[in-house]
Amino acid sequence: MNKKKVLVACGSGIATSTIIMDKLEEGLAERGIEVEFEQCKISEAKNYIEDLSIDIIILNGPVNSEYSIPAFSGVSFLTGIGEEELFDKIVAELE
Amino acid sequence: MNDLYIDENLIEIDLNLNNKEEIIKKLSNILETAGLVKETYQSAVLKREKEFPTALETESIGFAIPHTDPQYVNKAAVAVARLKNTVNFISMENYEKNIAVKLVFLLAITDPSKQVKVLQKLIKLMQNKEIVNTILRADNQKKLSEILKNNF
Repeated sequence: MNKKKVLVACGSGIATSTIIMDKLEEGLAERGIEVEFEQCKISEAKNYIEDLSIDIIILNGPVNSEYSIPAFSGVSFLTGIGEEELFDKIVAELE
Repeated sequence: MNDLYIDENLIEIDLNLNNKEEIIKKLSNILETAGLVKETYQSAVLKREKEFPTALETESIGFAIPHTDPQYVNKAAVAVARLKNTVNFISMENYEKNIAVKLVFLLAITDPSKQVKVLQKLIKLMQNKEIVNTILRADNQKKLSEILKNNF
């Protein structure tokens, strides 16, 4: 089976998205799920989704309906609030 | 995190300002006067904060981490304001939502990979109720800067 592709995006495409990606990588590994990560600026997200056939996107920013794939806010991975629930939702989407 | 400059002269205790732009201006003036950032830093931070707001809320506190790109920075540093009254900053996650912010960390970062580590530390710190309380209770700049130095 091909690994699913997860896109992580933030304003700069460098800072908070890396923190979110680190958390996700660790948490998904603990749950035995392997994925492929891509990282970009929010402004580039739409192109990434199309060009790289991304399966889900985690954003540090507002989640709106403009994305064609499941989209989640990753802010719980920054604040620690609701982290487990967010993992559950993401895992449900990846399985 | 020895390469992040933290100093009591970059800290404001119980700063009595009531809007986020004034707070960012105040702190960026401090960084500029100390030669840590370029003249263009202030407007770059203000612009970025409008486009990508930086307030977060942990179980312990509301805080904001305004920042901008390395090209505006001379030396990695952080200026800190503990506000007298909480001031609304826009949430990083939901641009329709305000967060009542008590601590502002204005970050001047020279290297993106370091920026990540600084942010990571800062967020961890803000999740720690005990440390947040010591920051809120520190009576002067020197004490507050020591708490930060010890935890960074």
